[in-house]
Parts: sequence; C-alpha cells; structure tokens
Amino acid sequence: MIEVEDLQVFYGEGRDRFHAVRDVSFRVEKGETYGLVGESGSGKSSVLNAIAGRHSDWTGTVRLAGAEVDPRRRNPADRQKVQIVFQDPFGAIHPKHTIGGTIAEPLAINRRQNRGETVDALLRQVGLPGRFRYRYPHQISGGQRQRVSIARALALQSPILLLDEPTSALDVSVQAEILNLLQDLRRDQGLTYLMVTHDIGVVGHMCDRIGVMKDGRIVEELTKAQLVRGETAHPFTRELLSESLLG
Amino acid sequence: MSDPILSVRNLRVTFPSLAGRIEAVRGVSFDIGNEKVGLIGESGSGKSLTGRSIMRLLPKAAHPVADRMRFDGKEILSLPEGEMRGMRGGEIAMILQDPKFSLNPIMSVGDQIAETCRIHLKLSKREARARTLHLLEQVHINDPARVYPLFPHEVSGGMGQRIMIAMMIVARPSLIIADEPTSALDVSVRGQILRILDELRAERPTGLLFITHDLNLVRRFCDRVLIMYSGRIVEELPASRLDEAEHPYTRGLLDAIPRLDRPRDRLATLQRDPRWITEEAGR
Ligand SMILES: Nc1ncnc2c1ncn2[C@@H]1O[C@H](COP(=O)(O)OP(=O)(O)OP(=O)(O)O)[C@@H](O)[C@H]1O
Ligand SMILES: Nc1ncnc2c1ncn2[C@@H]1O[C@H](COP(=O)(O)OP(=O)(O)OP(=O)(O)O)[C@@H](O)[C@H]1O
Ligand SMILES: [Mg+2]
Ligand SMILES: [Mg+2]
Repeated sequence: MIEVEDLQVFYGEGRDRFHAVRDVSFRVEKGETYGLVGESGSGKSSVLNAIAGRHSDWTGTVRLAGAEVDPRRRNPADRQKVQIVFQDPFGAIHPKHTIGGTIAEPLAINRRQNRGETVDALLRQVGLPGRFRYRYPHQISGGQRQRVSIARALALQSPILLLDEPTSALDVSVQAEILNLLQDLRRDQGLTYLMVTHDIGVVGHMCDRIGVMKDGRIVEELTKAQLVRGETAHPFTRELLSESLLG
Repeated sequence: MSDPILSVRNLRVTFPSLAGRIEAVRGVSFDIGNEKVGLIGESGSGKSLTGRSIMRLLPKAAHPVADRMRFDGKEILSLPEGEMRGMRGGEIAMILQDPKFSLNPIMSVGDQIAETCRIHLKLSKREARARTLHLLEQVHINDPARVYPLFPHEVSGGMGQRIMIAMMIVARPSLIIADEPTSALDVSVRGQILRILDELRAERPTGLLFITHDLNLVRRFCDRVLIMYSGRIVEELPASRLDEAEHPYTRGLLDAIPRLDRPRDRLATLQRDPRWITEEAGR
C-alpha cells in the first residue's frame, strides 16, 4: 500500500542544503501498521511529510496504492489516498478557524454532504463534546487539539493514515480510547498506518513491523515478534527496550 | 517541610461563556518545596491552566482567583504586571506545552536563546552567540552551528522542546513549571534532559512542577505526584508509590498503559463515574 524506495529528503539551498533523510526504503502492506522510531531529529517527520506531499524537495520513489506520486505535483486522486496527523497539532489547525470549521474543511473541499452530522460524529469518536465545534484552537487544551487533528485526518476516510506521534499529548486513558478507535478502523475499513512514536508500549501494541531511524537512515527493521523477544542488533533499539523493561 | 517555594490554596480559573461561566480549575491547593512534583491527569483536566496561572500567562478571557498563590513571599495574583514580567523567565520559568508555537516564529532559534543570554547574563553579542552554541550542545542537539539560524518551524519536535529547555537553563529559576517538556524526545535524549534538570536543582533549592502523561517517568523521576481530574486534585501520593493509588481514575490510568511485556488485543479504557467530578479529594 505504501512503497518507499531510496528516499532522500533535503532542506535549504546551496551551501546550506541539508540532507535530512538518506536512502530510506520500506514497504507497508494493506491493513498493516508500520512504526518509525528513532532519535529526535533523525528524520521521521521528514519521511512522513515527503509521503504526504507536505514537503517537495525529495528524490526516490514513493508509491501509494500502486501509483507513483510526483514530489512536486499531487493530483486530487493522490491527495484522497492519504491523510496525516501532524506532530504539532497547530500544524493542521488554523488558529483563526473554529474546531468545527477545521474538521469540516477537507469535507468541504471534496464536496461531501451532511457535513454537520459528520463533524459531530467525528468529535464523538475522539471523545470531545459536540459543543467544542464552536471553539477556537486556543480555547481548548493541548490534548484536545491533538484529538481535533486526528478527527480531521479521519474525516475523508482515506485508506492510508500517516500518524506522527498522534497520542503524545494524551493521558494514557484517552490514549487507550484513541488507539482502540484506530485499531477498529483498521480492522473494519482495512486502513493502512505509518506511525511515528517514542513510546515503546504504543509501538508494541500497534505496529506489525518497525523501522529504527538514526541520522536520516533506517538502521534496523524488526517484526513485532522480534521486538517483544528483544531480538535486536542495534544499540538504540536495545535502549528503547530497556526503558520498557524498567516499566 | 520548611517554607515552601510556592504555596497555592483554592485556585480557581473561570471562563465566561454563553451558558454562564465555565470553571476549568475548581479549587486546587498544593505546596512545592525543594522537590520535584509530578502533575498528571486527564486531558482537559486543567493542568496547563494551573501551571500558567502561576506564571500569569493565561488566555485573556480567563479569570483566576485564589485564597493564596504565594511565591517568595509575594502574592502572585496581585503583583503589578511590570514586576511579574521581571519574574517570568527569571525567578519562575515555564516550558510551555507547544514549544515550537511559543517561540517567536520570525526570529531564529539561536537568536532567541542569545537574547535570553544577553538579558539574564548581560553578555555581549559575541559572547551570547558562543554561549548559545554551547547551550545547544548541552541539550544534545547535534551540529549546533547548523541549527542556530533555523526558524522554529524548521526544527524537529524534540529539538523545539530542547530549545525551550536551553532558555530555561540560562535563567536559573528557583521555580520551574515544565508542561510536557519531554513528550517528543526519545528515551536517551529524555534521560539526558532529566539529568540536566537535576544538575540545575543541585546548584540551589529549586521547585519543579512537572506536567506529564508519562507515568513511568513520574514514578522514577519525581518525589511526589498530584493527580487531576476535571479541574481538581483527586489524589496525591509519593511518586514511588504511584502503583498503590486508590482513586478509581488513577487506577484506570495505570491499567490503560500499553506494555510490551503484557500484550493485549484491546486496551482497557475508563468507565468515568460522574461522582469523580463532585467528590472531595480523600485526604
Ligand atoms: N524546514 C526545515 N528546514 C531546515 N531543516 C529542517 C526542516 N525541517 C526539518 N529539518 C531538519 O531535518 C532533521 C530531521 O527533522 P525531523 O523533523 O524529520 O526529525 P524527527 O525524527 O521527526 O525528530 P523528532 O522526534 O524530534 O520530531 C532535523 O535536523 C531538522 O532540523
Ligand atoms: N480560552 C478558553 N475558553 C474556554 N475553555 C477553555 C479555554 N482554554 C482552556 N479551556 C478549557 O479548560 C480545560 C482545561 O484546559 P487545560 O489546557 O488546563 O487542560 P490540560 O489538563 O492541560 O489538558 P491536556 O493534557 O490535554 O493538555 C479544558 O477542558 C479546556 O477545553
Ligand atoms: Mg518529528
Ligand atoms: Mg495541557
């Protein structure tokens, strides 16, 4: 469903050009959840932003549902295929738009009907009261904003979801509700997830396979079974695991 | 405990709304001495508003009142704004929950740290730049010279958090309010940042209010933990005894943690009891 080959991501121009992601290749089958973990600044968000079409300075091949995408041009069909939940909720939420308007925007662009009802249902799914649709982003808490950006990403029922630390601002009980919701959607609608998280417990619960990133590269790939058994060769992965065992 | 660094009694924060007033913080009381106090609780329970009340950095519409909010012998809520401004980022420092969006979007991250150095340490322009590069290194940012000229939207999530922490190191506050300062950091960098906080506290008595969702971190790093639910503190414990919590909300939290060594098909979720909203904390 997601195929990435030899991805290179760059920022800046000329002398300041920075090579943030190097030779990254991986594939995620339909209905699978692939986790990206790794050092802060290792390029995880950069990979997601390139796939989502948010950043265009990249080379390599990215195929979504079989069709190759162009770094610089996304046609509407490509855009329908994938939604992203940003690491920083403010990345997706316009500060001057109400919560309801933010969630309805992708629905409006795609001329969907019954938008009011859909927005209500989405708010309910992420555990927020319907009256929140009239509020502005600065009038809700950090975790509530994060849930708004999840609701927005779910609105179009796209087959691929890119999730960048989607529950980092949530207490573990609300996190459990969101993760259960994501698991249900994956099972019922066959969604495919690419997920970044620092929480090894979340990785183990959600991901079928993981790629471990360091300095822009994927240095190790593991299945869930290998992760649970602690079968890792790379010191960074081992450090992640030692954290979870200290529990 | 001898004189606490911060003493809060009956803090309430209200917002006007079409349907009357919304009370988001509903009578919160606690003291912080020379110690690390964890503040955990439900998303939307009022943790950030509590922290921001102490800094008087609330949204305009918010109305905070308290029977007492004393820091260093001063009543914070009645301090003139000028005096408060001097205290902010000086005696009291706060790391805000959305670091990249609390920084100035049109000034490079390096210049922002350097400005703090010039104000607090009275350094020259050149000295401030050198100091900033050193600080970036101290918070374990690789290649400080490359990162210095980047704007806030050009740094990664975890780098944004560390830039806020670098600015706080400069100010040497005696009260630190850290609102999820490590949520975007991998385990190894997180450990290094916690060590930096401990080093700062070793230099002089410092109170730390650490708002987080990471129960493992609280258990290992903090001395005490306060648990908030719906605008109130519903339980308080020594952090090392978090697992002995009795309030059904806290119990529910502990049960909801996904663990590698205890795989489950579905995670346990809370059945929220309306009585949790009204009952007094059991003390
Ligand atoms: N717009 C940009 N301009 C310049 N450099 C950038 C930009 N965006 C990202 N970078 C750089 O690319 C590198 C990778 O950043 P990225 O956000 O992908 O990291 P990450 O793995 O998601 O980290 P974190 O876990 O901290 O969020 C960082 O060094 C960052 O400074
Ligand atoms: N400007 C505002 N107007 C009305 N209500 C507000 C405003 N700002 C915050 N609130 C509400 O106050 C409550 C407490 O918010 P706060 O940001 O303190 O929560 P929090 O405990 O930090 O949550 P999180 O863990 O999600 O960050 C929330 O329910 C929020 O919706
Ligand atoms: Mg990131
Ligand atoms: Mg908060």
